[in-house]
Amino acid sequence: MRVQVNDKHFEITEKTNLSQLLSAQNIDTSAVAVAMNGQIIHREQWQQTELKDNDTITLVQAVAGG
Amino acid sequence: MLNNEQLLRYSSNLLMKEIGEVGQQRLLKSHVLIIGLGGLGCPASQYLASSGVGQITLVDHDTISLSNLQRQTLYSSDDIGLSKARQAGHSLSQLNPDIRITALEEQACEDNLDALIKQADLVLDCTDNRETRYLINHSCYRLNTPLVSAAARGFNGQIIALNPEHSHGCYQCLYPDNVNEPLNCSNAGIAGPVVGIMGASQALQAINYFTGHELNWGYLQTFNGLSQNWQQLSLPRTASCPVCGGKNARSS
Ligand SMILES: [Zn+2]
Repeated sequence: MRVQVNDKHFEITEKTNLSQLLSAQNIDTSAVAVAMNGQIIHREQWQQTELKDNDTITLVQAVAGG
Repeated sequence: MLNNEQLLRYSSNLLMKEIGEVGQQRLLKSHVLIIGLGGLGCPASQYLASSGVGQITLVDHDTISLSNLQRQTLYSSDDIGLSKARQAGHSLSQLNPDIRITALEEQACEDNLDALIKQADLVLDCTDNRETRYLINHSCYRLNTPLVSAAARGFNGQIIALNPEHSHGCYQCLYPDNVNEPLNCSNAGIAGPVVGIMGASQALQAINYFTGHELNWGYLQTFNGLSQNWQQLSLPRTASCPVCGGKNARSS
């Protein structure tokens, strides 16, 4: 099945969770907010959030400047 | 009742049904606290002063430097080395002598935030660092005061309106790790108009709030200055959040 992470598409296997996807993509998540289909998912829920076909993942880098 | 000068000064507000005379009266009775007078705080305070927000408190401990002038629109080349708060207060009073401006040359910190926020109807976080952002968020939740927080770096901007009376998450829920960003304005650069758009957007949200329009509470809005795209992401509350979760939760 296919998921989208920001503007890139990825082919993943069934029963992949959000946590597995992020580590497989080598994403540094220390200052990043992660959203699935428009809703931010808190870190403690990444493991139990299973991905479905056509899910859209959005990574937002923390920004603090002004 | 508005006097003759106010009828002229605010005529463009008065002509709109979204603001009108009732809205203008509300703006004149409102008190906004603007923390940080850099690339966000300059345009935010200019629009709020010119729109007739009756009381504006400005807080910044920093002085103006040459590299600030690329985006900090309240200052000029003659102001290098002067206090941002005092200069901003001076320019804004000239822009609109009809309102009350209080300029504080101090750093927002744990010791003064509660006292500052207590007097305000709405807080704008226009700071440039994470530590102060966490403190402002915590204090606003403690005092039940709504907060519009914005930030920018490079061509990217972010803004979120938080209302402690609503059940969405807070700034601590959004970025739970207190890690320092590897990149900030001084080493990653920042596009002047991008931070200007974010500051203007904070001012707009403040005007909407004061005039009785509902804000999009709890939605992180991100702006990409290259594609000119806005994106909106909802932020749910984290049950374990030390600021807004569990027994700290004001609403469910
Ligand atoms: Zn929270």
